[in-house]
Amino acid sequence: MTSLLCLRDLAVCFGAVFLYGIFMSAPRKALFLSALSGAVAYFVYRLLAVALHHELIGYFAAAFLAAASAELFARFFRMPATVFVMPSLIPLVPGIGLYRSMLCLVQNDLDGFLAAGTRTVLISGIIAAAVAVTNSAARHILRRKPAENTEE
Amino acid sequence: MTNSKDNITQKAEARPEEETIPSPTEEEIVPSPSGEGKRSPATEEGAATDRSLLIETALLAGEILLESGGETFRAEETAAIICRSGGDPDGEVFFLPTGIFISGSGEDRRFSTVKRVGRRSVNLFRVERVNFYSRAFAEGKLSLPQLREKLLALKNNALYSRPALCLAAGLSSALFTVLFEPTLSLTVLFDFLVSFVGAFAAQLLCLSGRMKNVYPFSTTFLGSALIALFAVLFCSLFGIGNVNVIIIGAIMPLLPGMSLTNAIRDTVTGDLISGVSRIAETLLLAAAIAGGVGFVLACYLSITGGPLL
Repeated sequence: MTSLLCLRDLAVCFGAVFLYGIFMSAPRKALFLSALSGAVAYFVYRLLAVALHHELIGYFAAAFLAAASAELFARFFRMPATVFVMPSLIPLVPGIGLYRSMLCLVQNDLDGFLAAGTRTVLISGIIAAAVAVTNSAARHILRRKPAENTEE
Repeated sequence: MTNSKDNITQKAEARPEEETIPSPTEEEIVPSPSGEGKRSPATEEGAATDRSLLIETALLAGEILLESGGETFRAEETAAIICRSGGDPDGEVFFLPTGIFISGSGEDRRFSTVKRVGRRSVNLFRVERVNFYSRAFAEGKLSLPQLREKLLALKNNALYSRPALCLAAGLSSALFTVLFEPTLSLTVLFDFLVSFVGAFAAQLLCLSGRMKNVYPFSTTFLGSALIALFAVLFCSLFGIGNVNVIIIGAIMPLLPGMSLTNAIRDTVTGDLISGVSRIAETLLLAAAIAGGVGFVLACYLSITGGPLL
């Protein structure tokens, strides 16, 4: 039952990220790979969140995975990493948190709103930070090979 | 004034016809240096138009990047690379999410251009193409007029039509709804359909609003209100379905994930003004979504008591 659920989620996540890539007008070459890394990243998040009982670590690891694979794809295809990383991060974006905090606010539950809202801000910050850190790390580590080819 | 380096030409409009012909008043202002006035006026004019074409092209590339959701850092870097590869090592670029300033040096004067950037959206295809073309220009595979031509063509090339974008957004939201559904059951199909309809309608509203230059805040607010309305209406009408999951899935394409990531990147790379203004944009859009959904749900709660939430 649970393995069936996991399988469904993996397939659905792949499709959702693929279509979201089309919505963002990602180049056709990038669609498949970003959908794949998006689905895998989401899966990693789910596994870690369950295994470690802590969402934030899961979010960071998943965002790091998506960003790092995007940097590799970017070097390989000579495209900007943004093209790969933006669609694949989408399943991690805390839409649920935004909705929950809003729902608490509508129901006059200010404590719930503060808890859910803070959580949402923290999660978005962690995802964005993971991407930014990976990006600047990749700039320094991977710069040598492709950059020198382009300059000459 | 003996030196003409203080002579700065400012152009707010990027019309190619205006750039190629230096206005006569400009020529009058430039005092011909008594000693080195050997160059014929024709070549000086040619160099001046070349330089201003270079600046205009760098500006165009940066403008497309900013409008399509590229980071400020990337847009600045691209414009600077075009300037340098085109033979202007002293070109200076300064980009904000809402405007571009470029100043380049000519033989004996400086040119500067200012351009306002409105209508920011997401189009990764354009980001990739601009990157590709500017790289080809830096490697010498494209000439400056060719680069400019390609960029101008790119400005009107969106890769996908508007209905296709709405369809992709709708289907993607519907799949996200299934993804967020915690159990395996067949009622998920109902949620799938409702989420698709809601997200499709919301994107139609947002994209046509963008064409008519309506503020994104209003269209996002109305779009998310529409999503919540569809969810509440259909679920109470048919008595099945999960309102929460439908709404969470359907608002996915409206969420400002791209501007948030760019905001943090800009802040981290030191473009502080860009970063902070992008964070403000993100918060505004998130508030619009929460407000739109919240408004409808508050009405629903006060009318029925909210049995579905």
